[in-house]
Amino acid sequence: MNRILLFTVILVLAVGGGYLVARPFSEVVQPIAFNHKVHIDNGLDCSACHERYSQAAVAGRPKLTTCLFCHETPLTESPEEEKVRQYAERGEEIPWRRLTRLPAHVYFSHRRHVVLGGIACQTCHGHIGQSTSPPSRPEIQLKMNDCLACHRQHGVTTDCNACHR
Amino acid sequence: MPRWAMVIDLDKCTGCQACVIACKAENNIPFVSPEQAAMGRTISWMEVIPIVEGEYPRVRVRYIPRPCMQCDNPPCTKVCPVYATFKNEEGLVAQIYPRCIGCRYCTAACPYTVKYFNWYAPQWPEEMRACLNPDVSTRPKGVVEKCTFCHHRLQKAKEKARAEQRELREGDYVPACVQSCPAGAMFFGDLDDPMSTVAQLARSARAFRLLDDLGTEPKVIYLIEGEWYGPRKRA
Repeated sequence: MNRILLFTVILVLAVGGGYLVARPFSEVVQPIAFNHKVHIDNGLDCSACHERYSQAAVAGRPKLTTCLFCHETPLTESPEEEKVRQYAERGEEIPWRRLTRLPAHVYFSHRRHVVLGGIACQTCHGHIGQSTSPPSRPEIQLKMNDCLACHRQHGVTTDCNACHR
Repeated sequence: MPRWAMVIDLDKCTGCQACVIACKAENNIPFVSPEQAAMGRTISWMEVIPIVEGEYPRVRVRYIPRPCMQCDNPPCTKVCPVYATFKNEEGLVAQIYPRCIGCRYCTAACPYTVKYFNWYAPQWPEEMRACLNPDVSTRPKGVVEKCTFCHHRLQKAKEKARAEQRELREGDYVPACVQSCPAGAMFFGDLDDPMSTVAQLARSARAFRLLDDLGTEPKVIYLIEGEWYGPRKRA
């Protein structure tokens, strides 16, 4: 009887532990297989689509109208491009999913860092501009130490209250 | 570097509680059930404390709006083992929730009892979730919270001033309670700027600070005509 109990306990621990270790990270799947590289190569800046970066805390994901500015008529034969017009026909916004996330207790402003601080997008976002398909997780996993290292390097505030809220 | 301070004129305060409500809405203060409230677990960063003096029919009520005193010599920060609460260079006593381990030493050390422990995860009715202020994070279970002088407003005000290439001006940064006071009884500004409203009011003969003899050097300064302690004699 004791052996059966022990065996059960070990089995539960092994399965549970294995699940915790192998648990897949939450992967971000975008509604359209967006190709950043093609857009950059055609002379677009990050700000062409992420247009709120200079005014607000968030850079923003592009609205459908921004896409239709170029894609109202087909530019390629890509079925992914066709999806843009399908969303337009249905009158829906494209449900782009957010890739880079910060905890809710952090105040990060794109205007502060990009416009006022002159930090390049690539510092935090890596080579997303060179990606040909949407990455399922951010290239750089931002940690507080990354923020602090940069703040120290530039001699700006390291007061906790400056960013935590 | 400014030194932020608040002045509250008790002769103007009507005890209307607008500051209390403004604070709760601004800072996503969680609700507490009646059972929990009976156990003393109410969270209220700003509280209007009534003081009843005299006996019927000669009764007089005074009100003291009581936020965190943002002491210059804070007892709470000295006992924090993890630097979750500390006084920053602008004189604000900060509370960093992800650092807090919930030991509640600071809650015990604060002579003004302005520090509140989250006994359970905050809950809001479904209809109210969309009304939460996105500029303030909601606190998890097991951390201490308190009035921050709405420092999230300072974060935004500083950025705005910087974008407009100017220094921070008086009135750029004002906590929600001060902004909401319909009687105009509350003032906010830089105590180190001798020309600021708060600095001028703090020099007034009417000024006093709560439990001043403890040496906490509060940066919330109250104004009242005459003596604070004891009932006033009527002519």
